[in-house]
Amino acid sequence: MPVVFTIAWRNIFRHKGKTLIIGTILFLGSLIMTIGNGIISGLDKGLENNIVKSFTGEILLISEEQLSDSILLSSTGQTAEPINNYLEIEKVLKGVSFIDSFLPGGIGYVWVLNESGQPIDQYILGIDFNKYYNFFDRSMEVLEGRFMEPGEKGVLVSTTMRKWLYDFCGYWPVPKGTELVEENLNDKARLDKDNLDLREELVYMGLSRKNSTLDVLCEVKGIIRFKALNSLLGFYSLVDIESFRECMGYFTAQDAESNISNEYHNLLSLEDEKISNIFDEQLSEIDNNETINFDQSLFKRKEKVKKTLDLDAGVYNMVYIKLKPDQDIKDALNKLNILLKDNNLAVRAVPWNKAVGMLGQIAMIMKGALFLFVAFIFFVAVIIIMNTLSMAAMERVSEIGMMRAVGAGKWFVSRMFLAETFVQSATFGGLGIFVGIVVINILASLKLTTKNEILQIFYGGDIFHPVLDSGDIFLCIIQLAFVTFIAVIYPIIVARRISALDAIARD
Amino acid sequence: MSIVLLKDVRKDYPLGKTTVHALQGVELDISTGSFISIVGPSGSGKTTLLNIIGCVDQATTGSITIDDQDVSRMTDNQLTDLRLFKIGFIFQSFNLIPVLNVLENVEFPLLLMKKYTSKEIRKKAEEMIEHVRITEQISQRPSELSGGQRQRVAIARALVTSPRIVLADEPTANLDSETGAQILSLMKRINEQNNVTFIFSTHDPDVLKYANDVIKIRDGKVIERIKCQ
Ligand SMILES: Nc1ncnc2c1ncn2[C@@H]1O[C@H](COP(=O)(O)OP(=O)(O)OP(=O)(O)O)[C@@H](O)[C@H]1O
Ligand SMILES: [Mg+2]
Repeated sequence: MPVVFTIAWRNIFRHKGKTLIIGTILFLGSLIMTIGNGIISGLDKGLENNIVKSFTGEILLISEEQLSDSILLSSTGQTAEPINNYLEIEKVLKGVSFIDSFLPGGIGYVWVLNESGQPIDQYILGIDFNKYYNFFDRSMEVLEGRFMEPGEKGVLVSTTMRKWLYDFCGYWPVPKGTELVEENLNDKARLDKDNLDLREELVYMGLSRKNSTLDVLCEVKGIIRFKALNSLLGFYSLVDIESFRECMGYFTAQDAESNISNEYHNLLSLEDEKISNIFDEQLSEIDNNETINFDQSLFKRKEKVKKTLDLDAGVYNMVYIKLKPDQDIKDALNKLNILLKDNNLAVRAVPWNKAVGMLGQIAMIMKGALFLFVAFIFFVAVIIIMNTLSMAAMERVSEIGMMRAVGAGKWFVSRMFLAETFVQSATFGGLGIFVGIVVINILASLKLTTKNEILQIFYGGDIFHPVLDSGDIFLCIIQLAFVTFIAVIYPIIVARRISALDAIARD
Repeated sequence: MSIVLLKDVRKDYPLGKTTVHALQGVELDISTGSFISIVGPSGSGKTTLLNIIGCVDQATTGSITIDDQDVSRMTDNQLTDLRLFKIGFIFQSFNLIPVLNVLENVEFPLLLMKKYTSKEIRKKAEEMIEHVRITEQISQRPSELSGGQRQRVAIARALVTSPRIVLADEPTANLDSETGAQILSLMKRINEQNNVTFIFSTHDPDVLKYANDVIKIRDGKVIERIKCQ
């Protein structure tokens, strides 16, 4: 073993007090850092999981016309571009092997009518609720009222939006035909309990693309809450797709149906695929022989076909896509975009994190806050270690000076300090990281859950699941090495300044 | 043949607004293999002179030649190497590395030289420890040794690299007179056997028994040089 390491190793035992101070700092620093990293990592993965699982899917298709990818929460609040050809898109997506499932939906930036003041802006999602609910893993719960029935019109107001409406309009939305549930009132509303302006209906005003406003009255069916990340995902109220389209001035399925019944009545009795051709320019190419057939049984089928298909004939803004397990998102995106181009579908695929825009940034802020905390621990650790080591250097002036007199160069002195700090860092810091990993695993196995919305953001969901994969552990080691290195620079400078003369002067 | 040659060496220390003239034009010529004692009253400049010869301090003016090398223009690295290869130090307070045992302390300068294999290093160190008669304590740490034993280790460490010069500033000051005498006779023996130049300062009047030259200094000047043999 090189003599520097021998000296370093034995000095650690000789100066027990100092070793204890530095060791404790290194241990605690690494421990906190490791736990912090585990929480950050868990937050990251939790957010991804929960947002992907219950809000976006891995990939979204948006109109090619759409300027920004962040369709779900654009910073400018601009209205999403429409997708008019969902039926064609559906056909193509059905043939893609790596897609697990997909679902179309609308998103709009609307105003809520306020008779007594400024209207208040918000986002609504236009969806077929039952499909949406199942597609997104039943990730929400109803707090008051009920979910929407298939084909039913109305709105599900999120708790966040209820608070928002109350704060800005003084409305307290309640589901139609239900009583005020006092325990769900927030503190401010509770004080005002007797004078609450209860609303069973909301009027949404969409800004159509022709800049005319369209009002739609929506009955409140339920008050909903996301089981995880409600404070992030609750920015949206869910409106049935037809009301949504009306509000946004889009072509509705109803429009489609009236067109169909007037002009192409017979076509309704065709196979599903043929229906989509209504919107096809090559309509005339449909083989007439196959179509016109006023058979009684086919008329019965018409009812069925209409029911399952009509909604998809209207306009959407996006298509949520879930990939099969273990698919690489980037890879899937590339393939999908080529396919969409080849088929001239006028949509592009964007990854979920781009689609959520600022929402992702909120997560970044949380991560940033945790990171700052860890950085602060580092900073304190660096200061204490630096101070202790510098003191150690000062106390060993005659020893170090003697080494210099005997013929040790400055480089030797530097190496001696590096070795000493390295050994301590590896021992105590390593122990800290190890204990940190154990703590993270214990914490994860406890599967702590919370309904607290702020905590949920730190948890990255409703379950606290910090994780450390090998990459994270490697990061911990790098951080420890970095801290050690930073902390030892100044003491080394101090030690290098010690000259042979200092040893003699101390005699 | 001279191993140390000083010409008009002056050393000034700034002290507040005034200047202390610690050395005021020292002329000195020491030939290889001498056993030289520097004596003088406290504050006369003995330590300063030894530091300058040992290349741990630099003269304000004057020329210093060690083993035919002009040291006044050397860099810190060159001076470090000069100390490593040509000079051995014995300190008043022994100054060993506390965490290393006797053997390791003696091996230390040899390791720095990067010139020998670990076998050679072990052999040289053991021989030198034998030479200063401290073999029994070879694996003890400095804190487990008496003052005299420590100084023997220090001498072994100073000599193990076969330096041309050994410098010792009051090597017996922290020892009782009997042990001091033993250390001086050990130094003398090595001086005679190995032809190493010894330069040391002392307040010990007995030293005249050993030294071949006694250099008396006062107020930073050599005032007398007594040949003893
Ligand atoms: N670092 C310094 N700063 C200022 N003055 C110094 C310094 N070192 C030595 N001196 C002064 O230089 C002069 C010579 O000091 P030096 O230590 O060489 O004397 P000395 O002969 O070794 O004395 P002693 O026998 O007490 O050890 C003294 O006047 C001392 O005060
Ligand atoms: Mg002195």
